[in-house]
Amino acid sequence: MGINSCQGNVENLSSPSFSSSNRIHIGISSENLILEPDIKSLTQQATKKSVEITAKGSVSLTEMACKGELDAIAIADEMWPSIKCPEASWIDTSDSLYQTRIQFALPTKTAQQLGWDQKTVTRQEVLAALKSGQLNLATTIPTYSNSGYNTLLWLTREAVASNLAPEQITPGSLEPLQSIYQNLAQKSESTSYLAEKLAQKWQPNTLAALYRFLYAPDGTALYHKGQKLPLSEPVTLIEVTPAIPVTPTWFVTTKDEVLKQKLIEEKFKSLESKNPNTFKQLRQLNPPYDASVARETTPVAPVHRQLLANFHPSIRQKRWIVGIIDASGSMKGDGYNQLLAAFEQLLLPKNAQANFLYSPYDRFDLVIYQSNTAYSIPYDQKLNIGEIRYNLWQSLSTQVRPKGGTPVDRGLLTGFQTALDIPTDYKIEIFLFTDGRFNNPVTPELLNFYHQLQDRDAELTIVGAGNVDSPQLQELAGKLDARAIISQDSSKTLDELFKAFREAQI
Amino acid sequence: MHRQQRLLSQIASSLLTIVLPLLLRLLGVSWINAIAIGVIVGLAGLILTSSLSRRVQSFSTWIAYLLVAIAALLIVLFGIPQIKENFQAPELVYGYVGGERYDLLLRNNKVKQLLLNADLQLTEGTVTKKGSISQLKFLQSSRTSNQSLDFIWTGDAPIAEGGKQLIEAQGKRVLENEATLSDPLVLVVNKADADTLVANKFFATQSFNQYGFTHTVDTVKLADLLEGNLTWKDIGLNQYASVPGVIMSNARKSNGGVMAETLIGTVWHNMSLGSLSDKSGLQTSADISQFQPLPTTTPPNIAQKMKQLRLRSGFAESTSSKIRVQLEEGGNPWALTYYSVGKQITQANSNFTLVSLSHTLINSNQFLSFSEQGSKLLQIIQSPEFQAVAQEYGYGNPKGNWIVLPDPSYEAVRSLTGIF
Repeated sequence: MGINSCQGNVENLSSPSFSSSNRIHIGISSENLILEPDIKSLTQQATKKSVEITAKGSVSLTEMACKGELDAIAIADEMWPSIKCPEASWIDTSDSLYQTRIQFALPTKTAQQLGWDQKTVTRQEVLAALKSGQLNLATTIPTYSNSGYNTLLWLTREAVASNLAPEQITPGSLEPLQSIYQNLAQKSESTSYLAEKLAQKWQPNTLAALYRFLYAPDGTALYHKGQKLPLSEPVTLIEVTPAIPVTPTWFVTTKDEVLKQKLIEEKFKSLESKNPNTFKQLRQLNPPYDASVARETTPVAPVHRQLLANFHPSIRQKRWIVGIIDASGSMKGDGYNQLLAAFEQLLLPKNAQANFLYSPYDRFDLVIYQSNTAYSIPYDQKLNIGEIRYNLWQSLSTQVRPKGGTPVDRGLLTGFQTALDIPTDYKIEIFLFTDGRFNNPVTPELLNFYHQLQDRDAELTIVGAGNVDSPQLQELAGKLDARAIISQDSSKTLDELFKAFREAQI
Repeated sequence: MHRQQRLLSQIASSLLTIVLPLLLRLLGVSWINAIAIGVIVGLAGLILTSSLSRRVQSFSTWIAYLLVAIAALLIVLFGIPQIKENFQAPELVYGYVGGERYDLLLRNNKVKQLLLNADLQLTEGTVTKKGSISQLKFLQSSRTSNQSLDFIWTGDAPIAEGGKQLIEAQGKRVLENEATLSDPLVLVVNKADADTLVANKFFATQSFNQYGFTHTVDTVKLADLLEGNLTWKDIGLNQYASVPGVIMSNARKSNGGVMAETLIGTVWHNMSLGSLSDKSGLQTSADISQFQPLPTTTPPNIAQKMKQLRLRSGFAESTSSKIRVQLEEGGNPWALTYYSVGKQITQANSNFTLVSLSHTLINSNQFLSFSEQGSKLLQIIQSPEFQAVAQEYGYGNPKGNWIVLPDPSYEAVRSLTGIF
């Protein structure tokens, strides 16, 4: 098996489940999926139990481990547990797997034009090129994915101070980064998925930030889910200074002491001896730094917490989210309940803050369609945004009950009209939450409204919620040039919704 | 006929004399007791299986019965307790151990055997890996679960004193508070940088290399640099972008971090007493005639400087045993930590070397025992056999030309580090 082959699926959104006596539940972040087959087989050998792998971003996996939902994690950097749950009993039960770095890359022609192919580029030069719009960044969501966070931290240290103190991270000091994150070339919730997007479309002025070993060394391909994806134009790996080192690390997080010992001794400490070639190739793909590359310390944990908490309020563009919600009879059940649970997390400020989704500037409209009508949930415009969020949540959870038919055409029309009234300084995000059990709603009138929204750079995401008619939703997404996020069963709706909300945040 | 009977009797008795001690030994009776019982029972057997008429006349039967009685008495007095002890499961011992000593105590086969010989058993379930300060916090926060604790193997004397105070405040008796392994603070440094620093006269080459030290540094000069008024470039290191700091473990969680901050804080305090802090250029230990311990309340200027140093030094691990990750990431050329940790790092990664400090603090790795089992474990840890194994883990009790600075009080350490 090659270094970039893996059986795992970074988009595998299996719902979190608690470890049981018959099953070992392990979380692996996308860059560590190269080790998934060995982790799985060694765990089975050591414990004689079935193994469930959850593939998510490192930040999300750490949060699951902090809640006691996983027996072990292999994440992208060792600092996350100290940031998220520093008092966890398992925080010292860890060791590093290998060393890598965040690697920037540019299409070779652009790199040559800038003269970046023959030199070590300073952070100051990178920041200037991004701020001026000469280059656009392709990165992952900083509050979810380690590579996106490290890239943000690196840029922040140039914009604010190399030796960051928590109190230096303020809306004012982060303002210089707004233009970068409001004009991203590509974005994704995971590094692996970002690589796939870039392989499909890599604009000449796109500066990508991925892990070093996701690039073919000659810059002609990227790796995604074990496949080598050729690039239409070759890219040049840009050497930058200071470096952005990353140390993927395992933690054994189970409270079962016998299991803990087995997972440490017979699994993680045996990984390299089980497959020495993988580790040898990893070392080859992560060569030592050039002598011209400077190094800097990793900031203290309070700095990371402050930056994470400030990303949504202070850096990304403010959003106006229009949720078009299918409340027809077919939505009744688990899927709709999970939809409500997701909105509770998104709308209530305390929950949104805990999920790193909160910006005090975000606004919302909720459009409900059921029976033969569609309507916006009303709220008093004079209220402050916190009260509006709360009122919307109260109305949705207590007054809306799934019933009747599915007038999706009316829902979309009302939602699009609502979106067109949104002030121009907001980024418009429209979500259609539905099970897809309806006839074709696309009419010339609807398309007319939609084209007006596209002119305003609005984005439409169709989220399969409930017992989904997948082909119907895919067809609708194709007609409206929308992004479709569809789960295979209703029990996974909550994960799908969180993913949709996260991706809409950047 | 009599001759044949006598021969059979002799054979049977001899066999009994050999087999019985072996059997008793297998059951756990000591060799001396087993042989004594075997010989006595063998003799009794020999007498009793001899010709009946001769025995009656010679009263030897009574002698044989007396021998059997002695053997029975020996078995009751010594044999049965030893057999019972042999079949008894080793006693589980509950406690906390600082991260860097965990593998030594829990995972070394020679140590496991030493524990087994003493009928003690330590498992991942009974012993928790916990930094010394985390131990204190846990002791403070969870009063009920502390009752089953047999021991804590903590850090230096001031921290152990804090633990003792907390435990005693909860009505639990501390049976022993003893030093175990002697472990000085040292610098672990990127080897190429160490050579550069020798060339720039910041380090000196160490001639006394028996314990792995290749260089030595004046601690006052180091502490003065860590005040943050100079850059890495000023001492010849060009590849570091940050302002000088030093990798330390988290003083809010780990004794290693507390000691590192205490060492630097003590030097800063003495520089301040001698009005050396504001002098230009790097000061040296020659400028301080006598070192005073840290005061009970940290002066505000030292507290502020320490806060800044923590920020410059960056991400702090919760235990000294994880410092290697930060060193290998390369944002800082050095780490201030225990000799034992440094020894393990330099053995695992040849890019790093050990640098001794002119003035240092020595971690005594205090062991607090709360029960008979805890005290038995302490005896094992203090045994020459255990100390020999500990050397494999870097606890080599290194000797050097350093001066050991005076230990501060627990209150002084608490004030400087803000651990509570």
